[in-house]
Amino acid sequence: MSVHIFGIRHHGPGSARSLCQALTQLQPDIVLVEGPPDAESVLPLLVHAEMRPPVALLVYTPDNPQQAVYYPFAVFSPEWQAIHYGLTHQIPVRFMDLPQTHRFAIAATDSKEDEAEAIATPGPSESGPTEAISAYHDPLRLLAEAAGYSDGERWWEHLVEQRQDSTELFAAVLAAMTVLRAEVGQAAARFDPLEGLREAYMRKTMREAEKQGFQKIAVVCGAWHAPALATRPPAKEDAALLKGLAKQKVEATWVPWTYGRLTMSSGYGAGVESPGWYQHLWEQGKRSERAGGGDATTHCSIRWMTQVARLLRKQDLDASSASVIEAVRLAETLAALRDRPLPGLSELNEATQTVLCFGDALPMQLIHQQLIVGERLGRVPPETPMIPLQQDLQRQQKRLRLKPEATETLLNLDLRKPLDLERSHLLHRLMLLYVPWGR
Amino acid sequence: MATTKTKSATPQSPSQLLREHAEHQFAQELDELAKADTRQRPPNWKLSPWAVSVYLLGGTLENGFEVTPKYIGNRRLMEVAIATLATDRALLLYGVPGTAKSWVSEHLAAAIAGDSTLLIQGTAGTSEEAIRYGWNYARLLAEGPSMEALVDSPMMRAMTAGKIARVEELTRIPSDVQDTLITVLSEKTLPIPELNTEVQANKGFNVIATANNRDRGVNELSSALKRRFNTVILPVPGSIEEEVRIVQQRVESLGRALELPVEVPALEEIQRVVTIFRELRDGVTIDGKTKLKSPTGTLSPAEAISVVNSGMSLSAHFGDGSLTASDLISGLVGAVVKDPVQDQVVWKEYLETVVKERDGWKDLYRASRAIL
Repeated sequence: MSVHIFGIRHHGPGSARSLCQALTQLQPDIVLVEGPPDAESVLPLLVHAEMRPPVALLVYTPDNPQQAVYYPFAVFSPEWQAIHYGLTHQIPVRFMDLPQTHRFAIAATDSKEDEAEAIATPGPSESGPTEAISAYHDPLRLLAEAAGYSDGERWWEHLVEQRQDSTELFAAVLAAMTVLRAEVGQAAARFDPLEGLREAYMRKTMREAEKQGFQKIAVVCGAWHAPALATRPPAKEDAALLKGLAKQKVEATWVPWTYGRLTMSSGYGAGVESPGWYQHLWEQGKRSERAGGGDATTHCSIRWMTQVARLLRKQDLDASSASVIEAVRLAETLAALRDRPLPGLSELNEATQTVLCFGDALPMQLIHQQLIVGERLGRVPPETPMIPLQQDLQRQQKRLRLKPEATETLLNLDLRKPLDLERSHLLHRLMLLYVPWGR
Repeated sequence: MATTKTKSATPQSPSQLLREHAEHQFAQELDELAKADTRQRPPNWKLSPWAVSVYLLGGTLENGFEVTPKYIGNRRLMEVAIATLATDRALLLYGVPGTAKSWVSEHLAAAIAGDSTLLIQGTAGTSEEAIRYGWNYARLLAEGPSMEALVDSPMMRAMTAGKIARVEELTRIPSDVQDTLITVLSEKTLPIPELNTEVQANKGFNVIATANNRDRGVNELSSALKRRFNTVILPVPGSIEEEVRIVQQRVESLGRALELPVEVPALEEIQRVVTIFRELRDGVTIDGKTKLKSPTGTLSPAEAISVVNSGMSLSAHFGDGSLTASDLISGLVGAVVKDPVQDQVVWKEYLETVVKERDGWKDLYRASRAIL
């Protein structure tokens, strides 16, 4: 019986790809993923044909719906890929984080004490807290910066290229995380007072899986938690921690999400800065796998730059193929100048500004909004549990052919036509409910 | 007009020159960098791109040698400029006057090719001969067309030697002459139709052009030409600390070069001048509370440097040797008031609303009343 721990980077396409390869190689018989166990009932919908990321798991208390937590997923999230693998290979998939039934209850009792804590001053050293924050939220990025990369994903790719076998990579990540936690663990623990409880519950889930006789257990968690799951204290300690936790009734469902929202803080902490770019890296990885390897890195820059040029051309700005060639060359030379084998997003942005935008910073905002962040809205299948009001709205939207999108569009409604009149009615009704879909 | 082959004129001892070329003034730094440089150099480059970036931005070498920073500002812009030249694309430095475009161009050429003298100054009267070649008419008439009758331009010399050619004020050159650069930049050859030959560029050839977008009489680059350059826009300094650092460094080095017998001005005086320039440039006071009108000129760091310098020489020769408000004020007024009607109003308003009210600026206010 073996337990394999995969410490991933939340929403990191490089981690996701390495994880897929590792799972295919390992062929586990159960997959444990960091997430709320309260949502296990809606998990099978993930492989539904009409489910399109980005989507989020919504966990809420039905008596007080304002108390809710979102767990967003994109197609390049390692957790999404792990669950997808488990469900398509018909092996059990379980969430293993501290359930929200307990967390909501704890939050309710703690809310009065939190105010007093918030006033307390932070630790003596100035640099301590900020480093600890980034170490807790995105420890792999800290390692990337130490290696001289500004982009955590490019660093991971560099590592992947050096090693053929993904399992070695995850073993190395585990070793690095152990050292990191030994150094900054104390300072970082302040930012998640529930961390001890969460990791205890994760270990409890792992022990249950072992007791049930599964032989190859795959554990997918944030890299930060990997050391706590690799070396486990005795079961008695964890049981004592988790004893007598208060409970609250919760429900879970799937909701559509956008890349714009992904950039903000989520249930895991720090958001993703460039979901559109990560989507591009993910697709590029898939493409190079299908093609059987090859020079993926140059193709990555070339495809990105071509997309940028097409976007500029749509806005009537000159962007010829010759400029694309020059921009790619400049990005690669910049990376070489900075002693990096792979051009990252910052090098590509500087090359874009210099060659395609003639030094002007204004078109870069457009590129940032539409390509780097990306405007994408997910979709959930109609079988997803939702309140009757939501179902009715979806039916109306379908009937009136008013499709929800991530971008703002200008709609001209001729109130003499019956269809447009009904559309106007719907938008006004929503406004009465304080849902400003139409403005 | 045709440029003649430069014969070295009466040899002047270096201390007699008003301003040395960058490759002579900083010869020691360039030598040290060449010795400490172990990275790969592009063909015909004197230093590797990493060493050029250390030369421009300053730093300490492994043997403890200090390299002074030449450009104080965004590091990444300089890296983009150097990477551009390494990919043999031409570089266009763009921006408002006084943002160190010619300065950076000179130092880049000095560091990369060891020679910043292959310069074409663009004016409204620049003709094709300055960019391509001219003729020695006496020889042409006597012997007919031949290579000896040709008078080469700095561009041609840069191409044959594999060095960097500099074009200053590209946008002042008339459009039809600008377009002779298109063939040079894309095919890297200079055709000589009269002799049925061409001159091809050797490795290491590149062009650095500067242009500013503020003047009247600016000829916009044609899109074909624009596409052949990588454009880097040099901004005015982002923060007040950066601007003060720039002014302080240049004032010290210029003061030494001009042999001004005065002590280095206090930091407060420089900060005062820089604050006035920034507030008038941005149109709002530093604390953001009062809106101001901006004068017609660009109050760039270069002008701040010259204001402080002229103040220093005034105090040295006519004053008591230390820089006071009365020494600064004439240079300050001269820099701000370029248009006698509009800027006068702007300056008066600034004096009455900001200078009069500020603590410790009473001496400046009194000195300005003495002038107006």
